Amino acid sequence: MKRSILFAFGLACLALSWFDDSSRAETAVPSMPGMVGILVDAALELSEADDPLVRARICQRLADRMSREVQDSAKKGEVKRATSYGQYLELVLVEGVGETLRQAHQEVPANSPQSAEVELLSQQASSVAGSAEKSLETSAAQDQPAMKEAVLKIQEAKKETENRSQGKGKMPGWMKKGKKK
Amino acid sequence: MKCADCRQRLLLAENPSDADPECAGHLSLCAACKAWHGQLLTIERHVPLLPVPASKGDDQLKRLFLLPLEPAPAPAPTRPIRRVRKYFMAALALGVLIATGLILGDWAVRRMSPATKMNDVLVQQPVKPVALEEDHELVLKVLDCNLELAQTKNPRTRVEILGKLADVLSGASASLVKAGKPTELRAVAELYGKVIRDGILGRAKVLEDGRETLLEAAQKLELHASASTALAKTVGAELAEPMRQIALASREGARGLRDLSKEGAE
Repeated sequence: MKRSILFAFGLACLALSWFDDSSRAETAVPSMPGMVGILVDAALELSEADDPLVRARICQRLADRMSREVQDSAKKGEVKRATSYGQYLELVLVEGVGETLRQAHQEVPANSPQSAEVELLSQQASSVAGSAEKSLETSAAQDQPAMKEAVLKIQEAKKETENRSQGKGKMPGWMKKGKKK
Repeated sequence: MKCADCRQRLLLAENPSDADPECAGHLSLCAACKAWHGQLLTIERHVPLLPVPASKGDDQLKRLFLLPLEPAPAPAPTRPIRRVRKYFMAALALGVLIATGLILGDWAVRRMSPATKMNDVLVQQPVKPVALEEDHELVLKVLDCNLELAQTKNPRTRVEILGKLADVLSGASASLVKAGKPTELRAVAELYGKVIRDGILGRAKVLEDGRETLLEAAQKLELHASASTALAKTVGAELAEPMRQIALASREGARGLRDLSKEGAE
């Protein structure tokens, strides 16, 4: 009889442990950050950085991350992901790296170590854009119109970033509005 | 006001029949939203009337455990093997019964949880489910805040942009509740807390002569707190906990901002 009760108890414990496992799997600690988490962390860093060169470095890091995502998705032939990250890369390059380098270009004295860093960051931005562009052009899905458009946009972004880092290019309207505040 | 904003506000409202003036204005102009609002009110009215079968699972389980053990009958001199087999079969049946009860009980609890019920209702609503990693619009909105922050060093503008970022995350949390995604929701709640504590409050401390900005930001956070608290009441524990976390962070943030604005005024 004792053995039978133990057997029943064991079976019940087994069922309980199964529940415990299943609920634990669902409530596992999320493996964030992911892209939103990365962007939020970068936003907090940007909100503390007064030096445009520091902000340019943060944006350059983001551009590098976006470019790696473009390369990975292009390699896997994931058109939608590649074009989405291509769009983020374009924005980060022009409005992030390019714009902060333009500010830095205006603030730092010529021939100073800071002006050399402006040049270096500009070259890095071109290289990051070039890697993304190349991966899209050699992707298995390269013939898709969305991929071709993404390549063109990254090429344009590369040019615009170079211009802005040399103090050229137009400031976007929304930014002028923000500056008035 | 955009249709999506109006609909989101109505979904977050404690009483959707009492739309705020901005929403009411939009509803009077937009026939699609007006029809959608009518549908929402119908659902709101019907949710409490949904038949929910009473569960007897708990009582049955308790009864099984609380049953006094019957004294074992005196062993009969004949056929002992058959008796042992009888006890074994009874124990096996009891074990299977307990295991089945637990499985069915858990299934019933999940099935009848408010979150599931709410999701069932919202399946018919035009709510776009959010997959945090893949949500293009969410990434674009957060990225937009980053780019604005990259281009300014004005402390007041920074507090305003961080407030916008908190808005974006608060909106994402509401979408995740509707999509029933507790894992992503917990992650967003954590990020939201970070933006309030390390971002808004951190930047507000170095803000000079920004009383108005601080009070505006505090008001926004108070709105987030009440919306999150209200939403937490309508869902199951798994989704409610991160929403309460967001409400707490919002309240703490609003209190901190009000204190800072007082300090500035003195």
